[in-house]
Amino acid sequence: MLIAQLALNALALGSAYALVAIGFVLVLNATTAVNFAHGESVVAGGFAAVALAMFLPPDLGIPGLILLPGVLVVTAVLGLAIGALAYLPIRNRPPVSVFVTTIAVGIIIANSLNAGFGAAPQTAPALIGVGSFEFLGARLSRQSLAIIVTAIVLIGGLAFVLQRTQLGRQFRACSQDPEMARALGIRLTRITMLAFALGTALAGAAGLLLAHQFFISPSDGGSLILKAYIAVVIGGWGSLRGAAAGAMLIAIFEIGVAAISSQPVAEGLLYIVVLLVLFVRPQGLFGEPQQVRA
Amino acid sequence: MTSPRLEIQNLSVTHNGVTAVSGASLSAKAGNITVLLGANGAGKSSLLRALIGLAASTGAIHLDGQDISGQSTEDRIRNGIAWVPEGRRVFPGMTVAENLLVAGPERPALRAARMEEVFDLFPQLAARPTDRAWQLSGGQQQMLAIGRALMAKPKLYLLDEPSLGLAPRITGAVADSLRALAAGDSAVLVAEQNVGFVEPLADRTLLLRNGEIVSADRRAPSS
Amino acid sequence: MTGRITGRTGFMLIGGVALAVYALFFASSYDQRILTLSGVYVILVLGYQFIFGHAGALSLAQGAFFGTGAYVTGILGSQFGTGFLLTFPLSIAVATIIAAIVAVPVLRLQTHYFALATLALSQLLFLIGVNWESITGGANGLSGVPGITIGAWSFTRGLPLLAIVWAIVGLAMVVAYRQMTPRRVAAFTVMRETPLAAPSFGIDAGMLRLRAFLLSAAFGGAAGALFVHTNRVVSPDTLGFGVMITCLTMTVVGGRFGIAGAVLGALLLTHLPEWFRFLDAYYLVAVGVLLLASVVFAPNGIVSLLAADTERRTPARRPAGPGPVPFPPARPTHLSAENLSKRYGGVQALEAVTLHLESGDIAGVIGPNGAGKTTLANVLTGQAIPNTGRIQLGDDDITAQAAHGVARKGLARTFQTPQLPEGLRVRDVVETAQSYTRTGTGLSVEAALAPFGLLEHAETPCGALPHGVRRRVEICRAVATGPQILVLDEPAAGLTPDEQAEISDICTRLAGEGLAILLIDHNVEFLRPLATRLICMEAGRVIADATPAETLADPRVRDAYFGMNDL
Repeated sequence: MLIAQLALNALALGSAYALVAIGFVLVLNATTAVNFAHGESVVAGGFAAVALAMFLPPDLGIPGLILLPGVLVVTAVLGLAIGALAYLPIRNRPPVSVFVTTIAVGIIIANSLNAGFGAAPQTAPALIGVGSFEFLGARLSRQSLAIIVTAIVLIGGLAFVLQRTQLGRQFRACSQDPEMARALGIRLTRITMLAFALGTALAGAAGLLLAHQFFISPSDGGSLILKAYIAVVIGGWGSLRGAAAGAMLIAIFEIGVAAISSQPVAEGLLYIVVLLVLFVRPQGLFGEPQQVRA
Repeated sequence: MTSPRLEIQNLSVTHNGVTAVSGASLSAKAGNITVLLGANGAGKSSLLRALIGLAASTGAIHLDGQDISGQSTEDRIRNGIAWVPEGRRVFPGMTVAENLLVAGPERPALRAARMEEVFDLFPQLAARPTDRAWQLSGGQQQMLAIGRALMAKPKLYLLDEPSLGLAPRITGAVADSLRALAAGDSAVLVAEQNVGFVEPLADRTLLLRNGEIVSADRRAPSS
Repeated sequence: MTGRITGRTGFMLIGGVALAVYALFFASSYDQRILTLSGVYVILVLGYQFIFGHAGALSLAQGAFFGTGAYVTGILGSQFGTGFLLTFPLSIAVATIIAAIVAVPVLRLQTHYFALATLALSQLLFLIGVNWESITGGANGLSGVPGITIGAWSFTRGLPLLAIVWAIVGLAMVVAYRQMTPRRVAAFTVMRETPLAAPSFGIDAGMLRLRAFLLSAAFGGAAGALFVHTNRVVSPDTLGFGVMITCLTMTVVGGRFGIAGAVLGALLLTHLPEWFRFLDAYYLVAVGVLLLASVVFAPNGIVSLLAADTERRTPARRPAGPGPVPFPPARPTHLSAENLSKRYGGVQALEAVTLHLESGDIAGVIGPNGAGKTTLANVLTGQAIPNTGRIQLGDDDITAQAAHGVARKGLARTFQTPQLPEGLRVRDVVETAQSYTRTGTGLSVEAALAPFGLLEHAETPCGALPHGVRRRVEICRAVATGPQILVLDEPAAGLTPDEQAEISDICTRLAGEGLAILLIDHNVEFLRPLATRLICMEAGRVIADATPAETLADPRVRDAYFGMNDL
């Protein structure tokens, strides 16, 4: 059934987007800063997978999933670098500065990848093998299922850390009241760097998940950050759950509209919808309405 | 004779060109409740913030005889100072238990044990450990904030207007909890503008006016 | 710092001559082309400075306006052979119209949403450029765009094209110079650095931002048009994010304000690829590093590092002058607020508040934290809209007026923390307030400063003033707008007793000239001898409104303060 396949595709794409959006919000909450290099972090993860895959003996059909730990480590380190270079030096400046420094870091990442790998789209190995299998009369792609399951495991892991560990509690305290957290002895810088590492690692994982089915090229970062941004606007600025939900909606919208017309129309409509949402509710779908006249 | 738990000499706090506190000196003894009385704008909050290291200051600050004026907030907390700010500032999205745990020591077993102690002291909190902090009433939030400070078993408590915004019948329970803190041999420094609240509590009262300590009496000033 | 670049003009003239000599005698035709492109980017950056620099808003649509201008000229020129005299204004117009369409909703967004909206807009335009093949030529774009021909003159590649482009750059500089008058630059500075206070001094932030946004689009469109005349082809690259990044980098590296910064940034970044050609594919990485380093180490651009800041003269302290200068009289008036209420979320900040002010009144407002004093000030001055009730100033109903309108009607205020832009001089701050409220008493700046004893500080930047003087400047600024009602929010906070006495004296004399003053403060000692009336608030309600002695003796008031013995 075409609908079932489409639905599965949408779920898979949505899961990957959710990882990106959640990673974005993690950094946002810890620093109130928009990380414009986040899209490039996804791309970096994809290319890390491509690079690491070169070490795998070919023709053995080794599942790409095995690359996940390596990708997570590489992108976590990248996250620390982004935090150290683009955030820490200017954290007391107005928020606009962080936009620009992260844009700069994004340029550095994208063009380094471009110089190193070339501009053409590349692909990473399939996660658990190609092909699909029959289930209740529908053909379900292995790759899509693998993406969904991997995303669930990663998000579940993050949820566990945030809800059940002391580190997670410290993290949440920092997002809600950084000064009070500091006054309880929580080390803000440590939490901030952790946010960058975790957030970027999740983005990198999304890159691995997307790279096989959807290909990855160094210039993909821009549209990815835009979608993460949109997911957060839909789901509520700063809400992890909202970001995941927003990401899922974007994927469903994209795949659904593309199925009826075309990819560019889907993307264009998405942007128009976002603009309309912001026009009608300047505070985002779930923000607080402003009482004071500008 | 042992040094008092807290001793401040000639403390001045300046922020953005405004001198909030100038030349303040006081001492607070372990097991005692020392009250800093002053109206809005007198400099109470600035003084407490300087003690916890969140505001820059000049002058000497000694904790059990040790000079901590050069230390960071983190170090002061590790040395045993806890700050309960004005307006409670509990973490609204986190539960009662989580608010307590996040302030607790590193070892999980010790953390859990301390939380039980806090629950013993505040049965109102023990009754609703999984409620989010924003759902609590003002008085319960104040208890939570005090309990959160307790988790660190500090030597010195700094409380900024704990009775602010609370109905008189609630403040009695808050006062009791402050007595309990002092009974545990900690020093308690309370900044307040509510004379009625602090009068029965204070072992010693100092008056803060326009950033200066103008009198230090045994009890609340009478004239 | 104002936009009038006096000390730098010499620097620029020398630079201009040097460039001209280089172009005429030393540049190859390739070099000339690079220099032409530099000119194009100068226009783009000049435009971006309006919205990113002066208005302080991170617009990510500048590249899209560039691309729009490029495509209008490209399509009309290559497909229909339309001449420059038509395509150039059209490019500017279309870009500006697109900006105008999205402007009103987009400009009221907060920083992070504004960036998103402009980004979404630019991506949308990019998609249209790539996919609407029939009109735009799709991914390959359009070629055969003619050069610039005006009447009989054809500006061929090389020196003629270079000359006409830079002539247009000169035109753009003149427009930018005339748009950013010192008055307007100061207003933008006030809006950017003290957004809370700006509306209260007649500055309509929305209009300022709109002007900046539209100007940026117009300049962007012009730059795009000239770009395709230089390259003779138009492709989706002109709409891509690459242009935006180039523009942003040039502005950050060169300088966010001022023509010199734009020229420097454009020249540097167009020549950098040539100098760093050995880096090959890593060239853009170097650009990223440069951008990052600029933000971290030179946030005001290279232009601030290079040219010695000739603007910052040592402030000339004039002599204090003879004794106290009288204040100008104010028109007699009456302010009446009836049954005001205001709710924020679950909190009733004001409830059934009624008060009246007459000329000569000094009404003190006291009350514990959270009593609603500042909310009252906000509602009266138009910073917040009441849920119920009416505010009448003389014959005008100002209940629903926004702050900048209220300021022009004759109600001025100060703020709990002084809202003075650090870099502006005292005289600039006062002058800006006067010019934007237009109800100004027609006084010169000196005449406004003199009664406050501020003449000696007229040339001093606000950032260098001690706290007590800042408080005086705030009040001076408010009075300079020629108000009939003055709302002072904690004017004595943080002042020494001497300084408090000064403020007290100022208030008494102002009231003597017919001003009505509403004075919010915690310090009862300060208010008691000064106020003609004392209002006490608690939990959003007025619980007492009588002479100071009566109010302070009122048991409910004493209760509200929990029996503070100070009273």
